[in-house]
Amino acid sequence: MTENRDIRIEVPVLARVEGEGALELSASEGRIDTLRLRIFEPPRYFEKFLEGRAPQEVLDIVARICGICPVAYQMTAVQALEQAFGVQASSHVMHLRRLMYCGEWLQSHALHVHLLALPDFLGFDNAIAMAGKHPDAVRRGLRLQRLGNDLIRLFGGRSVHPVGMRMGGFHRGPDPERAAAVLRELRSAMADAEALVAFTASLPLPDDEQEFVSVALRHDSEYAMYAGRIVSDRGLDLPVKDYLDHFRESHVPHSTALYAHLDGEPYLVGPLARLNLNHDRLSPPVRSALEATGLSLPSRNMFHSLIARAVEIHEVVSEAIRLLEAYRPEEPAHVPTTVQAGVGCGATEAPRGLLWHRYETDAAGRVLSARIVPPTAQNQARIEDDLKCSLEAFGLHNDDDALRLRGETVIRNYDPCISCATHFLKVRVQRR
Amino acid sequence: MHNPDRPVEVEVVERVEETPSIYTLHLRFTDPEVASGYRLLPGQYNMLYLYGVGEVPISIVSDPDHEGLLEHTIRSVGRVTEGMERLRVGDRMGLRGPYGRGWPLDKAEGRDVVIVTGGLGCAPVVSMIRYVLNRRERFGRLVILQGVKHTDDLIWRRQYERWQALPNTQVLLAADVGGPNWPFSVGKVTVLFNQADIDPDRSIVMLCGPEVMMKASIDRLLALNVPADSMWLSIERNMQCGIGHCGHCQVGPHFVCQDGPVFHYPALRPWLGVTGF
Amino acid sequence: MKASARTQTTALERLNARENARPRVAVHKFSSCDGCQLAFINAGEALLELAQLVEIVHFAEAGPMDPEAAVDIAFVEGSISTPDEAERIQAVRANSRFLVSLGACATSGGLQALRNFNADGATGWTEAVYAQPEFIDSLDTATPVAEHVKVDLELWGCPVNARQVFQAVRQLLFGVEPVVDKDKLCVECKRQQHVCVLVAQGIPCMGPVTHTGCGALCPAFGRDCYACFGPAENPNTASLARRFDGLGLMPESVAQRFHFINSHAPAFRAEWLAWKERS
Ligand SMILES: Cc1cc2nc3c(=O)[nH]c(=O)nc-3n(C[C@H](O)[C@H](O)[C@H](O)COP(=O)(O)OP(=O)(O)OC[C@H]3O[C@@H](n4cnc5c(N)ncnc54)[C@H](O)[C@@H]3O)c2cc1C
Ligand code: SF4
Ligand code: SF4
Ligand code: SF4
Repeated sequence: MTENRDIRIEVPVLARVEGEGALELSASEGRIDTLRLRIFEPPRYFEKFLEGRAPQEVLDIVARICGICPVAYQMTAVQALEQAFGVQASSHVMHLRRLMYCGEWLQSHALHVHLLALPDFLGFDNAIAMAGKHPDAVRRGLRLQRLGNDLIRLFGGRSVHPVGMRMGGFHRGPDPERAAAVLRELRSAMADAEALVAFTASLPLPDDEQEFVSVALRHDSEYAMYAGRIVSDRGLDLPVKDYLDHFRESHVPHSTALYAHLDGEPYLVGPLARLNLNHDRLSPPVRSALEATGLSLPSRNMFHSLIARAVEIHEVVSEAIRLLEAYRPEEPAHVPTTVQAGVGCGATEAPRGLLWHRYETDAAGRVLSARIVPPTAQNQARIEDDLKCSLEAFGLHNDDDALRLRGETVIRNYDPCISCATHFLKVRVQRR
Repeated sequence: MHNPDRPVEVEVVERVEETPSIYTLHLRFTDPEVASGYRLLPGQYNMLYLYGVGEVPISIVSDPDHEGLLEHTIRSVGRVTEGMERLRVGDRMGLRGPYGRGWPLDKAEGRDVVIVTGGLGCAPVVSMIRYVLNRRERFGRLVILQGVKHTDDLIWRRQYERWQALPNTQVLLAADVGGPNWPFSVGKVTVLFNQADIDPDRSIVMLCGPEVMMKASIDRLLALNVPADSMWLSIERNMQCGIGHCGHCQVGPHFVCQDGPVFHYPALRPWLGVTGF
Repeated sequence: MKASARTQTTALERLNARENARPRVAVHKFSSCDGCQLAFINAGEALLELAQLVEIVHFAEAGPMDPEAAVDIAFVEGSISTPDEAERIQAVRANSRFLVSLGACATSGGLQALRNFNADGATGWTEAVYAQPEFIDSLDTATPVAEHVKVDLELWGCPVNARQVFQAVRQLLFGVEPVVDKDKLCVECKRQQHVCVLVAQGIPCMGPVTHTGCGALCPAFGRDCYACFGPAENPNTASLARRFDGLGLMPESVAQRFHFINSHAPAFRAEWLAWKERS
C-alpha cells in the first residue's frame, strides 16, 4: 500500500466532455479530506457583449455559448425577451418551439448516451474504438442523433446555431414536405428509442445511492421543457422570475466556472432530476416502457442518469411525432412583436438541465444587462459532492487508474458542457 | 433506365501505369442495376468525380459491349487528375454519364475508316479503333495515323504494333523528334499522308488531337480529295457541368459537352482555329 | 486568406511526404463553443468511415486523447484567449504538418473577439463577471490562430459544416491543394433562387460582403445574413454600409452589423470603426 507516500497523478482524463478540467483530491485513512474539481474555462464574456444588442442579435449570440445546446440558449432568451416586451406567443408558436426543442434533446442525449457514456459501461476508451465491437449500438446512436439534427434543421437550416428563431416565433415555419419526411423517419425510430430504454436499464450500472436535491421545471400537463414553474423535491415551488431569491451563484478561487447553490446547498439539475420530479408527466407509451424496466422513482443513484436520458429520448421522439402529425403551416410563423423598456426572465430545460436567463432592456429593445445561469454551473457543487461520496464508496484503496476511471465516469454522468471550458482533467490524488 | 445525370459510384478494379504521368483505370459500377442499364457509344465521355476534390470529363475507351466495365486513360495535368492518380484497386469514386455525341457509327458502316490522331488525343479514337476491330466484317479498311511529340509519348506502343500486323489495316506512326528506338517516321503527323493508302470516295475520316494538328490534317485530306462531308472530329474544351448549363465549353453556337465532343467537320468549320470567341 | 499559396504548397508537400498512407489527424480545441467540432461528430456514419481512412489520434470530445502527438493534419477550433492557449498553439503547430483553422473562432477570433478594442479591456469585463477576478487568467484579446502561427488552410463559418471539413480532408488525402470557393454569398443565394431580402424588403443583409459556404441559409428563411462565414474576398463593405445607411439604419446599427461574429477580420473591423466614429 501507499499509505505514507504522497501520490500525485497527473493524467489527462476528461475526454468525452466538452471542456477542460482537473480533479484534485487529498485523502487520509480512506476518507477524502478535500476535493476540488478545477475548471479552466477560458472566459468568453457573453454577458458583457450582449449589452447594447438588439433582440435578434441576442438570439444569434447566445446560441454560440454552446455548440451542443444552442437551441436551449435561444429558447430561454426568446422567452425572457418576450416577457420583457410583453409579447405573448401563440399556441402554434409554442408547439413549434417544443418541437424544435425535442430535436435538441434528441441529438444531445443520443450523442451523450452512445458516444460519450456507453464506452464507460461497455469498457472502451471511446466510441470510435467501441464501434468495432458494438456497431449496432453505435449506429443506433448515430441514427437518433441525426434525426434530432434533422428536426432542428427544419426550423433553422442547420443544427448548430440554427438561424430560424426570432422574437414572436420563427422567420419561417418548417417546410411541409421536409416535415413529412422527418415524421416518417421519427416513426421508424420509435422502435429504436423504446429498445434503448430497456438496453440502458439492462447495463451493469454501479449501485451508488446518494442524498441530493433535484430541481427542475414542472408544467401542468407536459413533461416540462419550454415552460413551467421551478420546483424541487424538497417542496420548493417558484415562478421563474423569483429564481434569484433562492438560487445564488458564487465564484470559487479554484475554478473559472461559477457555482450555484439552492438556499446554500448543492443541488441537481438535468435528466435524472427531471425524471424524478416529472415522471408522472411522461406520455403513456413511455411511462409503460419505463415501468417495464422496474426502475423505481425517484432514484438516488446518479448512474441512472443514463437511463433517464434514454427515457427522455423515447419521450421526445414520441412527442415530436405527435406535434408533427398536428402541424399545419401558418404564415407568418410568428406573432407581431413590439419592443419596450423592461425586465424579463426565462427558464427552460436544456438537455443538461435548468437554464435561466434575465435581461433588462431599454425602450429600443436593446439589452442593458444580461444574466445567464447555465446548467453546468448549477451542477458544479453537486458534482464535487458526488465525487467525494462515490470515490469513498468505491474505495480509496483502489489503484490510481481505477480511481481515475471511476472519477471520470461519475463526472460524465452530468454531461458537463464545460464549453461553457477545454481539455484535460488532470487528476491529482494526495494520500496521507 | 439509367439516368446519366444521377451520379453513381464506381470502384477501381484494375489500374495500369501507362507512363509516369498517364494511367488507365478500369472501373466497375458498385450497383449491379446501374451496370446493366448503362449504355455507351465510342467517343462519348464520363464525368468522373474524385470525392471532395472535383469532377473532370474523361473519354471512355472501353468497348460498348464490355458490359459493366469502363476503361479510362487519364493524363495527370492538374488538381483532379493528379489526385486521381492516387486511386488504387478497391478505391471508389463518383461517375455520371455517358455524355455527349460519339462517332457516327451508322455512317461508318461499310466504309474505310481513317483515324488521324495527335499527341494524347488518342483516347476518344481508341474506343473507335477497338469498335472496328471487334466488328471487323462491318467495315472496310482501317487506316490509323498517329503523331506524337516525343517518341516516349507513345503509349500502347505494343498495341499499335499488334494492330499493324492485322490484315486490311494500316498503322502509321510519326514523332516530331525521333530517337534510337524509333523505327517509324519522323516529323508531324501530316508527313504520314504520303504513305497512307486512302481512297477518298470510300473513306470516313475521324480526327482527334490538338486543333492545329487537326486543321493541318484536314487541309491535306481535302487536297487528297476527301470530301469535307466525310470528316468528323472530336474536340476538347474545359467544361464544368457536362449538361449544357454552364457555358464553359461553348464553341460558337455549339456546346462541346452535348453537341460534341464529336462534330461533323462542316458544322465546326467556321469556328475551328478561331481564337477569342 | 492569410497563408499564401506558397506556404500552402510547402505544407502540402510536407504532408505528401508522409510515410504512412493512413495519415494521423488531431482536432484541438481552444476558446470556442465546440460547435465546429460537431461538423465531425454530427457526421454520423461518415465519422466512422473517416476513422478508417485516417488515424484520429487526438479528438477529446470524441474520445481519443493524445494532445502532444505529432500529426499530419491538425484541425484547430477556437481562438487564442489565454496565456496557456498562446503557448499550446505553438506546440500544436510544431507537431503538425498541415494546420487547418476550423471556423470563425480560429480563423477570425470569432464572437469572443468582441472583447478586443473594448474600452474597459478584458480586465474590466472580468471584474464585472467574476467575483474574484484575480483567479481569472485571460488575455486582453481573443485572436485568430494565424496571428500566432502559420495556418495552411482556413475554413470559415460559425460553425463550419461537414461539407467543408470532409472536402478538406479528402483533398488532403488525395494530396491536392484544397480549394475554397471565394464567391460572395449572394451568388449562392441567386443559384438557389431565393427572393433577395435586401432588394425586396429592405432588410440589411450582409450577403454581398460575406464568404459563401453555408448554402445561403438565412435568406432561405426570409431573413438577413449576419455574416457568420466572415468577409468574402475583396468585399465592398463601404458601399454596403452606405446602402444600410440609406435604408434608415442609425450609424451605430450599421457599425454593429460589422461588429459581430467576425469583428476581428480586418475588412469588417475597418468598417465598424468607420461607422462607430459617426455614431
Ligand atoms: C470531352 C473530353 C474528353 C476528355 N477525355 C480525356 C481523357 O480521356 N483523358 C485525359 O487524360 N483527359 C481527358 N480530357 C481532359 C481532362 O478533362 C482534363 O485534363 C481535366 O479536366 C484537367 O483537370 P485537372 O483538375 O486535373 O486540371 P486543372 O488543374 O483543372 O488544369 C490543369 C491544366 O489542364 C488544363 N485543362 C483543364 N481542363 C482541360 C480540358 N478539359 N481540356 C484540356 N485541358 C484542360 C488547364 O488549363 C491547365 O493547364 C477530356 C476533356 C474533354 C472535354
Ligand atoms: S466558430 Fe462558431 S461554431 Fe465554431 S467554435 Fe467558434 S463559436 Fe462555435
Ligand atoms: S438576400 Fe442577401 S445574400 Fe441573398 S442576394 Fe440578397 S443580399 Fe445577397
Ligand atoms: S446566410 Fe450568412 S449568417 Fe446565415 S448561415 Fe449563411 S453566412 Fe451565416
